[in-house]
Amino acid sequence: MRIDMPDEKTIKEEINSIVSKGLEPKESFYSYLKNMYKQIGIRYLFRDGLEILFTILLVFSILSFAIIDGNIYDVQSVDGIYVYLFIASPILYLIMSVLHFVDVIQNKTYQIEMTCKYNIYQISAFRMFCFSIICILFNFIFVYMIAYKYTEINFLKAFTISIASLFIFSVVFLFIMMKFKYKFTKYFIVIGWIVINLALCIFSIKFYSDLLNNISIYTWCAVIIGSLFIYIKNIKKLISFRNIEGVI
Amino acid sequence: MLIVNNVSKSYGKFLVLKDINLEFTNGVYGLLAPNGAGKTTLIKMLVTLLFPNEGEILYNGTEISKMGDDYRDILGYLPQEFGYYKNYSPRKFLHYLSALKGMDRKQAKERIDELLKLVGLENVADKKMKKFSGGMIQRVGIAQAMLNDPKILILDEPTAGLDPKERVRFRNLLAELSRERIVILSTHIVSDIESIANEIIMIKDKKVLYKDTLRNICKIFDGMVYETKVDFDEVSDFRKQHFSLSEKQENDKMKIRFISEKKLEDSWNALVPSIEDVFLYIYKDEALMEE
Ligand SMILES: Nc1ncnc2c1ncn2[C@@H]1O[C@H](COP(=O)(O)OP(=O)(O)O)[C@@H](O)[C@H]1O
Ligand SMILES: [Mg+2]
Repeated sequence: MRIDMPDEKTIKEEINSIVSKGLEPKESFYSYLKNMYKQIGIRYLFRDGLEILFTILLVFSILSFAIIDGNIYDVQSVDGIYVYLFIASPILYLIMSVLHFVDVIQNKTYQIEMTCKYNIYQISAFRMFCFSIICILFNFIFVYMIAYKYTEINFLKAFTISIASLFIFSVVFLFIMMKFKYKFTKYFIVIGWIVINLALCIFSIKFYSDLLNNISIYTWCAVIIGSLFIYIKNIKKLISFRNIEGVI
Repeated sequence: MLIVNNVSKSYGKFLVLKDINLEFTNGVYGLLAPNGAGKTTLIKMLVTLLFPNEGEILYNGTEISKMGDDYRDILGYLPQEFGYYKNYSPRKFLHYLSALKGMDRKQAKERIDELLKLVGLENVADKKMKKFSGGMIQRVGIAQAMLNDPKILILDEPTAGLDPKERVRFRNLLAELSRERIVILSTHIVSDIESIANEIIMIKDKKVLYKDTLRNICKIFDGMVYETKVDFDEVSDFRKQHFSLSEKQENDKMKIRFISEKKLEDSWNALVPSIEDVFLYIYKDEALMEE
């Protein structure tokens, strides 16, 4: 095969285009999400908005029912409420995310959506990020309600525990979703997290609540910052995720 | 230019494609092989839904999976099993996908109107798709694949479910589209690509058997296709000796089109081989297995 030598002008142009491409500033995470939002719009990013709203209301009613009913307080000391918060805080996140991934798997348009510029991984990243924000707000309101009803509860402490729990769980969840290839393993581990928590809670609530109480607010804040950092990093990874073929 | 380099693919231990080498430049390529030959597998690798176990696929020198959304940006794809949202209208569905494809909204609107007209769905553009026939859905699928004016258009069995009239329409549409892009379409129906494909790719025994123009492939079988008339009671004997391509009753005799390495009898009439003949002969063993 013979290749013609390009002329001077073409060479210059090519070099310029290569250099400018190489120097193209890497888009920051937030501007990427913002562009995506502008591009796709909330209507299509949350096609299932009604279901999500319904999920939020349902989880909210169930969780509030538990406090209003006063069960936690009757059975346990006030420390038990922190344990309850720790376990309950990621539940909304869990349900929304699991529903999202189940939807993705069952979705018949998977093959087309996967080959679009913004594919399922990027949409998932965006949604997970929004889910976290929704959950922070949700937990804020929820903790506020608890602190309002049980005046012995320190709002700040309860809220930090709740957020820390949310992000620890989110990190574990995302990690599992991206690391393990088999759906079965994924769901097994996710369910395992809940079971272990419940087991700890049932068999040794004292140990559990002591553990939570002995950790200072500063430590909780450190935990939040740490897990938030890892979480964002994982979401960024999800955006450029392409290694495992088939389904999330 | 899209290049497939020594690609092999297996599902678990089941090898589907072995050492595939292909090169695509602008034009229409017809991927012709019977069901189960690995057409969809090859196509899924070309659209990065699957990854080769061995080898690489390059677009202008870069591996396509590494190009990420830069590659998806220039890609249009119609999957074999085309899924859609039943409660969406074609217009809404196309708007949704154009958003995912990162298209400018105003531009997308114009393009969607244009495409709906092109595939003849402008009258039902705002009806929900759950009432659509298979052919109409397929046309929505074809429209969605062309939304972003892709440089690489890949269609997996695009004519499945289309009636004869729609097929003709589709062929004309494709001929129009193919000038400035790579179009790859798979089919197991010979007549689909006979008139429009610049090159035909045939896969057999996990490998590329032919990749050539229709004329060159048919040339290989020059002097091997004949026609003769046989008495009815001799037909089954004749079939045992020669591979019969097609049979037709004519004046108390059976007119048989068949393959023979040499002209053995003067009464035989030599014919120009068609791609259909080639297809039937090459995949004769597979055809038997399917029956
Ligand atoms: N996900 C899968 N797992 C295992 N085997 C598969 C899978 N998909 C396809 N196959 C097998 O691979 C072969 C090629 O399939 P396919 O690429 O769909 O062929 P075609 O599209 O030409 O009909 C078939 O024998 C099929 O049974
Ligand atoms: Mg197929």
